[in-house]
Amino acid sequence: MTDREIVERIGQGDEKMLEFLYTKYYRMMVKMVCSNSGTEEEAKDIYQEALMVFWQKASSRNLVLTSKISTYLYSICQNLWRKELEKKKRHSHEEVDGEEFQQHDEAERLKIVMECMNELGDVCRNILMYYYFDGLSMGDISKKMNFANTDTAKTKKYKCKKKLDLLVKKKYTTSDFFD
Amino acid sequence: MNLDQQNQLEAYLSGQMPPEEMKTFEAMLNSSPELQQEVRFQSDIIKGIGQYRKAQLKARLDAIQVTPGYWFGLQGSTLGQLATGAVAVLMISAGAYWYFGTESESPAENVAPQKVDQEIVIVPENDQSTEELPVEETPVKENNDESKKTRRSEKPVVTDKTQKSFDPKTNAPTSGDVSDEEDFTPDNLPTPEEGTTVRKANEPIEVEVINGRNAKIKYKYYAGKLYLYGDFTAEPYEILEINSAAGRRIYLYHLNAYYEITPTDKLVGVVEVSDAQLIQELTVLRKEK
Repeated sequence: MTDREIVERIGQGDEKMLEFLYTKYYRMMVKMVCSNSGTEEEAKDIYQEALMVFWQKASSRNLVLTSKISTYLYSICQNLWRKELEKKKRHSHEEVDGEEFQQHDEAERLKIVMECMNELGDVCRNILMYYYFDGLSMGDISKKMNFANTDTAKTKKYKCKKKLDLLVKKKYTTSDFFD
Repeated sequence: MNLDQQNQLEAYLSGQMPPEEMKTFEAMLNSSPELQQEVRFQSDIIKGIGQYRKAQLKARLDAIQVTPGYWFGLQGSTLGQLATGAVAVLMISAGAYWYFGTESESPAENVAPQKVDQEIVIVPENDQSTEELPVEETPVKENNDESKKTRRSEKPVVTDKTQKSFDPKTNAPTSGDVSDEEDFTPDNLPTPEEGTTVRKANEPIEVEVINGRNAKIKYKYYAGKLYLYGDFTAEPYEILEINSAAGRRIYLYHLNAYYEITPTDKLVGVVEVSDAQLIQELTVLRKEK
């Protein structure tokens, strides 16, 4: 399979391609992190994160491949790992600051959103993820989910988003995020 | 919020709003705390959906046990330091250790410490069109080892048939890395008592059998471990594994039927494979052992 084919299939939301890439370059990426004072576990995290970046770019068809996928992934891994190392260094020097608290606050809110996602049905959950994270077109979504047409997908997405908004709002008001 | 407003907000949050519209929108945003709150709320939701999706995809990746052996077949040539074009064929069973052929090569220098409990056997491949690969075989069927371990054999799985067309499900020559695993409960051995489990180490997938009274086989499969619920005392099961470009597929063979095993942490019943081509493929694979 060529790089172009892989990117095309990710553009249609083919998750098998993600698994394929993962195993294909696992050793290469993990080795880079491990030989730069990272552990296997850290390497895996970085690599998975890099794949997420790649996935999102390719699935939303915002990826213009000017190099091999491996080269591209490698550079994302390098950047992410560099950032991680800097973060580690900073943390050993400084105390937790205000920024950290804000992040904590955000994490709490996102946790609520994720809980609400869990309460949705499969169809809703998928359509929202495909649309908002993967950035699939409505056409690709309706194909992937076997909808009759693009309009069905659009209506569904709108309804599901409303449902999620409501669920989250309900939980937000019971906590104190908007005080 | 109506559809237009939602679209506008989403365009703003995704950075896809045209510059002029952006100016107007930001002016509006500055003067409206309500709108600010809505923007923050929507941004949370979208980020939350993203995190959910990421967690889901990562869980999917975590379920794949990436092993050194696996890369060989797929990636021999890309990873220059490895034996190029090597085909790793793994035959695994209630495993103890590996028989390394003389031409086998340990990838130790490239293997980072890892929880992977699989080693590899490499059969050098002359070229992709090779039909006859060096065959090393050890008898599989007879077994009276008290530790209930079966022997393993290795065998090339690249066949004519698989070279005709590319089908991610089959072992295409370029990625013809196929491993199988099988397990025998020898007929002449006393069957394990109810409740005992058979545990195996050093395998790509660990299998734990929980003897159930139910005739219908159920399973859980996650974190590289397969939990089988069923009665295999009368007829042993076999695990077949196809590693191909499409990823790793696990199949269960029992009483003349093949079942696909997909990663799941919930107890589910097995689903029989109905694809005729796949069945044929699996049969070939099983016979070759």
